Amino acid sequence: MITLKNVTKFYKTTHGKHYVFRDINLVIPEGKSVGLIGRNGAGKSTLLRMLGGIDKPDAGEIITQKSISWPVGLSGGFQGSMTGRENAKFVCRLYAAKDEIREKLAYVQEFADMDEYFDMPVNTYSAGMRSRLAFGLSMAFDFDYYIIDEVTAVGDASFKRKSREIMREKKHKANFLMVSHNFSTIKNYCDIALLISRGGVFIHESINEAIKAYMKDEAAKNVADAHAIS
Amino acid sequence: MVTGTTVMPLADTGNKSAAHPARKLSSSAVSIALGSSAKKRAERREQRTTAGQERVFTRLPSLQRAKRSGLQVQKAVVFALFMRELRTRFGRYQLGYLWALLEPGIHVLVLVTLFSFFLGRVKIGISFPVFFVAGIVPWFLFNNIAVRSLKAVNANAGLFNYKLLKPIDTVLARVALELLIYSIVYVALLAVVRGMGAPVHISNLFKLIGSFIAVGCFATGIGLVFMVIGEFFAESEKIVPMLIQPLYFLSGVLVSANQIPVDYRGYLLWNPLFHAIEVGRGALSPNYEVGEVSLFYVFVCALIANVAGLWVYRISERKLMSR
Repeated sequence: MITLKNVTKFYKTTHGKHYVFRDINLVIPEGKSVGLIGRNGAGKSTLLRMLGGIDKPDAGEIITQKSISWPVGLSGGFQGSMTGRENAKFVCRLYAAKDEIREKLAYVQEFADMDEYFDMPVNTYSAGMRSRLAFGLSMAFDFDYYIIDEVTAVGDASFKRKSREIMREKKHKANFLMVSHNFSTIKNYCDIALLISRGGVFIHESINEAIKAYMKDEAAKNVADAHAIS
Repeated sequence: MVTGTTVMPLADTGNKSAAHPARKLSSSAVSIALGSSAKKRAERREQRTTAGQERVFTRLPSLQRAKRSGLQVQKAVVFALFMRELRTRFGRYQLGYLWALLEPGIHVLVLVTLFSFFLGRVKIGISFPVFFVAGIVPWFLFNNIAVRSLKAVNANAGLFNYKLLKPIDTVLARVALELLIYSIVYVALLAVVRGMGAPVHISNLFKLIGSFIAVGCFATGIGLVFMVIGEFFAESEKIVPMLIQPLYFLSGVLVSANQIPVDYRGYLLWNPLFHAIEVGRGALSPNYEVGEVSLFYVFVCALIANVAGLWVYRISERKLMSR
């Protein structure tokens, strides 16, 4: 369960505060994977980051007892001059107990098909290899919630299949908090949806319903825009 | 456990579930709760277990196994950053970590040799190499912590996605690394100058270590302030080191307190670094005339600096994280 209490987030611009969220109150129920739906720039990623505790709201609070991952597939934290193993070890040192680090590293190497590349500097990796490493690293840990911002299937067909399998696997014991422009991905992995519309943030028990509401919101906006032009 | 013969843990749900404290249900209870498809999986799992297959991951990370306290987490984070910093700073060199010591060591040794040669004229009850070692090492400790703190957040920006990691940890890791490097350099240089014939009598080890630690604490407080300044004013990266440099001459690196005319001495002795360096010299040579300096004063300054540092950090932590 994740509870949002009066969550407000704004950015300071030269024209004053630009509010992304104002006084959001909602509860993400236990055991549900959540897809965040909304137009570009609506604040999906911002909300996701706040749910993950990476970004803090400017007012209000987000309360949860659950463990939440770093963004799945994040490779921005990699240090190019360090090897894949060293980068993975760094994250293990943050999140795992000392005696688990070796097995975690073995898992990452195996899962990401790294072989001898695991001991080469990350800046020698191809983009795909980097992503595989990052994805494998995320999957080596068990969290209650996984934060997923537009995870794009990476790698070749066999790695994609492996990724899908492990995601399905994780789904049995964990939940996802997911941003994706691809509705079918959200339908695939999520149980409920958070619709971030112009009128606020709404929780929908059914994803189809949320998509419908989203379409309606967009259509209304388009009509209003058309009127404004004519 | 043989990690080499890895079994792809793709269909390995149950083991992990079983290890979870909140899910310590019997496997039959699990399958009832999960429904029939899960039940099938559980059965297959059991078969595999009985087949005695190896599994790589049977446990959950400690994060969930037992909740770590905030302090434990921070310790792990600072250690991880410390190792990373060590690796990125020196990992690419042939001599590797040795450079961590050689670089500042050689730097200090060159200065000490030069100063001892050109400035070593006045008798002050301490051999000149020792005098300069005791001046330069604490100075470098302070200077490095302060200047490196300016870029601490920027250099580690990508890491704040790991939410266990807070901006303050980046400074603490750098402080820990500098403390380690310069304490070894200190000992090594004292050994070197002693080997060259300069008398080194550690008359008060407690004061020597105390003065060194005091500089570290003071620098930490300053570093916290600098971290915030460095993040909000990009220019500070250029300006602050320029402003700190003159402190080199005002901190007694090259002179002892008693060599300074009485009229000015009072002003210079506002500087806690001067106190710390002089106390250190006193501890290294019983005959050295230590001026009116106090280790207590350094610690008071360190306390004030840390209160100030933690305060500015507290009000700006959120902004440091969400840049």
